Amino acid sequence: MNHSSGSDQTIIRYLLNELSAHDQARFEEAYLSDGSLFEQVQALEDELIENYVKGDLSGRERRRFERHYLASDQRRARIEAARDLVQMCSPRSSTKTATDDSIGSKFFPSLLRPRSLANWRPAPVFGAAAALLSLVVAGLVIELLRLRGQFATVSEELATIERRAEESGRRLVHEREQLAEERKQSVELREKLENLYSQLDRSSREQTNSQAPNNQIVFLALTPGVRSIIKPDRAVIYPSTRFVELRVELEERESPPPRSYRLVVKAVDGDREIWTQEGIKLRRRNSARYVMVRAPADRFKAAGAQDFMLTLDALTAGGKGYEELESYYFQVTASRR
Amino acid sequence: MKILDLSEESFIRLLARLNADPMLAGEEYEKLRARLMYFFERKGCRTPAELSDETINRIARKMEEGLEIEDLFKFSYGVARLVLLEHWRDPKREWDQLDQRVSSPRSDREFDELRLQCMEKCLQALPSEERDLIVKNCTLDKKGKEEVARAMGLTMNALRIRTFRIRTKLHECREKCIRGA
Repeated sequence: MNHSSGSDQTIIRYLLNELSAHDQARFEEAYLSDGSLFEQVQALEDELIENYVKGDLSGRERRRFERHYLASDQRRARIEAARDLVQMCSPRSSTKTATDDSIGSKFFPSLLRPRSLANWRPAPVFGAAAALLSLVVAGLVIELLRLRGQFATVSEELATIERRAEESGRRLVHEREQLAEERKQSVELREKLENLYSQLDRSSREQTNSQAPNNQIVFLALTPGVRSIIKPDRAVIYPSTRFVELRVELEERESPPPRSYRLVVKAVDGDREIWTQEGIKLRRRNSARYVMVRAPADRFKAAGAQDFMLTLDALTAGGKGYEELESYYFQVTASRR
Repeated sequence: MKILDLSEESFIRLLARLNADPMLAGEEYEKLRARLMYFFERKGCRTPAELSDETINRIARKMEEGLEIEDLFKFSYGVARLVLLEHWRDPKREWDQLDQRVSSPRSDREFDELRLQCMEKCLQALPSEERDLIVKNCTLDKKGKEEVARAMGLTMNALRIRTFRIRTKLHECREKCIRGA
C-alpha cells in the first residue's frame, strides 16, 4: 500500500472506513508519522464533508459517510459548520457580491476596462502638432484594441467560471429547499408514527393487563430516511428497564421480501457488536412493513456507550448468507432516576 | 484506565527528543498531540484529548526507562493502539448520562441564527483573496475547481490544502465567536 498511501482514492476509502483492517493500520501509522499526509487527509475530509452537504456524494458514498460521520457529536458539529459555510456561499449571500467585485478589480485595473475605452475621445488639436498627436493616438488605440481583445478572452473565461459557480449555487439552493421540505415531512411522519406506537403500546398493555411495572420495556422506532443530524433517534432506559424494543420500518421494495432478516446492533465506539438476532420475520400493518425485536437492556448498559448502529440484513435467495439492506444510527442513554 | 502522571523532567526530556530547539519542540509536541487526537476521534472515542495525553505520557515513561525510540511519531501509533484497546475494555469507562448533558439555554432557531451570523462575520474578516477562494471552492464543482487550480498555477492537492488552511482559520474564528456570544 506504500506507493499509493497518499492517493486521494486511498484517503477517501480510509475516511469512509472501506480499507481492510491491515491497510487501515498501515495508513494510520503513515499519517501519524507524516505531517503532509496528515494534512492531506484532513483537507480531503473537509472536502468530503462539504460534498456531502452539497449532495454531491453517490448513494453508496453517502451511506458510508453517514454511518461514520453522523455517529458522533463532534463530527455532526463539523457537518453543521460546513453546512453554514455552504449556505453563506450561496449566490443570494452578500459575500458573493464582494467576491465578484474583488475578482474584477484584481484582474483588470479601471483604466483597462471596456467602459473607459468606449468613453475615450481624442481632444481637438490643430496643425502639425495635431497630426503628430493623431499618430500617437492611433498607436494608443491599436494598443488598446489589442488589450481589449485580451480582456475579452479573459473575461469570457471568467464568465464561464462564474456561470458555473452560479449554476452550482442555484442547484444547491434548490436541493437545500427540497431537503428542508423532506426533513419537515419526515419529522411529521415520525411524530405520527411515534404517536401510533404509543397508542398501540397503551392498548396492548391494557389488553394483556401486563404485570410488568412501568419502563420495563422501552420502545424505539427507527425509520429509513429520517436522519436528523442534531437530534438522532434516542431511547432512554431506566434502572427498571429490561428490554429495548426496536421497531425498524422498511422502505418499499419492488422485489418480493426475503424469507427472514438478521439484525445486528453495534456500539459505534470501537465498532463492537453487542447483540444480534437472526430469523426475524417481516410484519405488516396496513401499508407499513417493519421488523420488531426486543433487545435486552443490559446489553446496552454493559456496552458503556450511547451511540449505536443497527444493521438490517436480509437472507439471500439461496439462504446461505445475508446481505446488508439498511443501517440506522441511534442513541441509548441511561437515566439514574 | 489509570492516567499516568508525567514529571516535569520527563516532559522536558520528551520535548528535547522532539527537537533540540525548545520553540520548535513545542510545535512538534502540538503536532503529535493533534494527530493522536484525530486518530482517537476517528475511532469514536469521546475523550480524544485525554487519551492522547495518556499516550504521550506513556511514551515519555518509556523514554525515562531508557528505551531507544527511533521514530517517535511512528512509535506513538503502537502506543496509541494499546491505549485504545484498554479504553474499550475499561469497565469503568464513563457513560454519558442523559441527565448530565448540558442543555443549551438557547432555542435551536436562535442558535442556528447565531452560527450563521458568526460564519458571516468571520468570512468577511478574511483577507479578500482568501474569501474569494473559500467562496469559489464551495460553489464550484470539481471541474470548476480544476480550472481555478490551473489559473492559480497549483495542483488540485495544493489548492485543497490551501483551502483547508483558510477554512481551519475560519472555523476557529466561528467557534470563538459562538463561544463568546
